[in-house]
Amino acid sequence: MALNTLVVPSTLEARLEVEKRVLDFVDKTGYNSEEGIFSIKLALEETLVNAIRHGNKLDTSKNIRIAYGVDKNHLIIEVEDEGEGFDYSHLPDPTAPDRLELPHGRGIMLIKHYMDDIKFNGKGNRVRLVKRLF
Amino acid sequence: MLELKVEHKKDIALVKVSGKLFQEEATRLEEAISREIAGGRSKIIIDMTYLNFISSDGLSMLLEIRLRLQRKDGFIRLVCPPELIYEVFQRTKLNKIFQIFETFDQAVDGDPS
Repeated sequence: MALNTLVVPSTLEARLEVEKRVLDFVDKTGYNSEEGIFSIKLALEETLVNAIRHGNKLDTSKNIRIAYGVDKNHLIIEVEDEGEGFDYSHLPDPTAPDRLELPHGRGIMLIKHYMDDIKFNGKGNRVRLVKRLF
Repeated sequence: MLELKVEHKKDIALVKVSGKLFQEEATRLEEAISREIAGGRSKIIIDMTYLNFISSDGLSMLLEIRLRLQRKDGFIRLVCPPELIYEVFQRTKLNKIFQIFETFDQAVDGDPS
């Protein structure tokens, strides 16, 4: 499976173009579920903002690499930053009573909910999202 | 990306939003609400009827505004989020934190019935 690739600087403006490119690609597959497209957009937004803000820490000299494509019936999106990674296996539950009112920490739980699969590399600076389309 | 319209109903600011509530747009909405707070209004109702997207940044902004308004004995109430938006509140359990109403009148009364 050949994936389309993009390399963009760590700016919040650049992510909007990435989102447009990926959603245009999804549109061309013929996939038109309103709920599904909402899910893809939300997961992509959370992933890209995390990579830019937390991964590359808004350092515009660092890039974000995005790869996307369809494998059989599934949309695959990979996002990699140049940061130090993080321990994705010990994230606190943002819906726990003592964390529910905190204004941060919901991005990854939303990605997990709206995608069918999410896998990080060992370092935690690359993530692969999978969403069943057909 | 996010259209904003503010109306005043007595001491309440009704903020009608349409479009997408995410990173940059959340900042714009926060600024609009901050202007209301600076103007002495601490009761804010956000009409979400035509909102079609919200991210965790949008949720964060709403939580921060809620805390600011609570300190002023005010409130933030949400009206009529579309199904996909409401699901985000359900999934994050923020539907237990925010008061969400079907109509503006119910939100003014603070009574969902």
